[in-house]
Amino acid sequence: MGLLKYTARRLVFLAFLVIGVSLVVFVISHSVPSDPVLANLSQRNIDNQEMVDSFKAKWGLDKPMYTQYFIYVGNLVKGDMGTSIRTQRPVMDDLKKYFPATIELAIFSIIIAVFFGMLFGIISAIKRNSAIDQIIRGISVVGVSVPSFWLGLMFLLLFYVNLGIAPGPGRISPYLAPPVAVTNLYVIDALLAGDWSLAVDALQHLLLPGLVLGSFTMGLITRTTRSSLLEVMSLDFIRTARAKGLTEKMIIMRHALGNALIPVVTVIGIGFGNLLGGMVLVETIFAWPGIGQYAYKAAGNLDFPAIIGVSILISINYVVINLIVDLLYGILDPRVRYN
Amino acid sequence: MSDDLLDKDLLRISNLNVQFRTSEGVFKAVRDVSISIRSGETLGIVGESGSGKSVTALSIMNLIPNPPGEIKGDIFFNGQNLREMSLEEVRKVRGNEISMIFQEPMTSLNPIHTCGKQIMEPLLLHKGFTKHEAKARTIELLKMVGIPLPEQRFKEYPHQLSGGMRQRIMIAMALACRPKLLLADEPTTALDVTIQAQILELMKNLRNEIDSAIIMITHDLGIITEMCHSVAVMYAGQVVESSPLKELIREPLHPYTEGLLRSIPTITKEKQRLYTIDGTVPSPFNMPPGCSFQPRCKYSNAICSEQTPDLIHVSEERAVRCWRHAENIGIGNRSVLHG
Repeated sequence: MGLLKYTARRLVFLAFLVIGVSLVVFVISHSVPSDPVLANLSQRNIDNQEMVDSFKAKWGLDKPMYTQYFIYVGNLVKGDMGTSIRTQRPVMDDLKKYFPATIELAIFSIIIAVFFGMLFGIISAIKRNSAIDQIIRGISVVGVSVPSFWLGLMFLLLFYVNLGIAPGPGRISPYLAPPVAVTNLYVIDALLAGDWSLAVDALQHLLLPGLVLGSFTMGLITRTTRSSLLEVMSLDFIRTARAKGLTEKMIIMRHALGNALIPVVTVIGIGFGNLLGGMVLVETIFAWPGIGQYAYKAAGNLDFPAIIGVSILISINYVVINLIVDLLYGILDPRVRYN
Repeated sequence: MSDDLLDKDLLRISNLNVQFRTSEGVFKAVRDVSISIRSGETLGIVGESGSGKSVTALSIMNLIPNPPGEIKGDIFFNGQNLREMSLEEVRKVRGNEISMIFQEPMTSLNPIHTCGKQIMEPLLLHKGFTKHEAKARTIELLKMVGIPLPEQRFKEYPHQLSGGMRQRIMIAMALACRPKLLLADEPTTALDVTIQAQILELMKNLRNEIDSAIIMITHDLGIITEMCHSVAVMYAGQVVESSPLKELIREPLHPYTEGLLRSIPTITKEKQRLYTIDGTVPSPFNMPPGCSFQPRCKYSNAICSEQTPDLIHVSEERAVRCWRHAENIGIGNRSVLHG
């Protein structure tokens, strides 16, 4: 019961957060010293005062800022996020269209990051100060510190242009038709349709952007797993486990890892949130038709409804991921569960 | 001592030396310690913090982390030298034939596993019990250590129990496989006085029930008089006196033992300042020449600061590391008996 109540409370809080985020983004985007009229109309139309006035009237830009905001929030409560100035389509429809591509890439990246991050972290902790530890620590530092746009360009140059072993940008090869939309995650949809070669093609396209996007999180997870595991291994109950006669492997698997995972889960949560936020550059480089590219173009055009829409979507994701992390704590740590 | 006598010893430690290599230098935690214990006996090891009591106990279980720890010397258990065994063989002894109760009941149990699971672990590991059998035996053990509602406690996590209850869990875990030797490292130090008494009473009853030998490590002479048959007094990593309990209380031989006994508060004497031993334990990195206790000793004379005394057997059961007794029995510094 406690758990349901807790989840419900957090979801109610989410509603307030959406309003708060919309306000902050609204104010910031309207404070940018740039003019949406200039960003969206051609030079000839800008010179025509009538055109400018009608553009402003159409998008409500002639009204005072607070009025604009109240109109926006009024519509938001009804589930209407407005119409994108750039695409001329409802923002909600745009988000629905682009978000699955982003989610597919994010999930793929986080799987890579978690799997390799934890694996490397565990190896590194067990083989502490060995050559392999040094190599892994080197990789994780590079992963954390190399900017993703550089890594993305280098990967494309090396694996696609020079070696030719990775597919180019996009979600699938240009000569293939997308699978029948069910979840809009291409790999899953292709599998549902029984089209193996399409699923493999989609997976191959995920590989480079997934690696680039996941490199930061993977480095972070590696480092956290290593330090957390080393810390846990020095605790009293590990000595108790040794005194029982357990082997080192049993001690790590049964006693150390479960405890060491608690801070790692936090990092995974943060990392996943960052992935969604940090999509902009990677999606642009890899021509990935997701929310990152959408946000990039919206920002370039001062497309206010789209900018606020993307911001709200990403903040909702953060909250949902944090909620999942909090619920995971309860599973991993009985002390949290009972408190 | 004849071989015949030696064979009756359940545990015989001879010339144990344990040192830690640290950045500040080599720290000799245990120096030339030789002790022995027979089945059914309780040996008390008493000394202040840093005297090497716990390190001695941990060495028996081979639980000293290496590096930085290095163990030298022989530890015969049941006629077999634990120091010559492989780690795999030592693991079969740990938690099975020798088990240990630690000082910190709050941190010595794994917070993410239930108490029942942790007690069952050595039974499953060493005795080949099925889960069902192990659970039945665990419930039995919980009853034996006086835990009310054992079926319920079985499912609970350590943080749900008080310190006294957790120490009972530790004791139940240590006794699970009916060990021949139980190492109790300050089992009551972290507990309230009333709980201390209960735990000591429990250990006394259990000793009679399971007929194990117990090594009781403590800085509390009260516990020693309550529990032990014989005593080894440790100071600065060395055994300075070993003796049956009654003789030690009646006539302490080493000036340090004498000081310890005099500093016990009593309620029969008139109110007066508690006796203290002047000075502090020497730094392990900077041991005084000759006898380690000499800077604090009121009987100290020239030879004490020049030569280190050996452990001298003054009778079959008593030994002391002090020049006064070497002279008393006419040994001088030329040919001392080794312990």
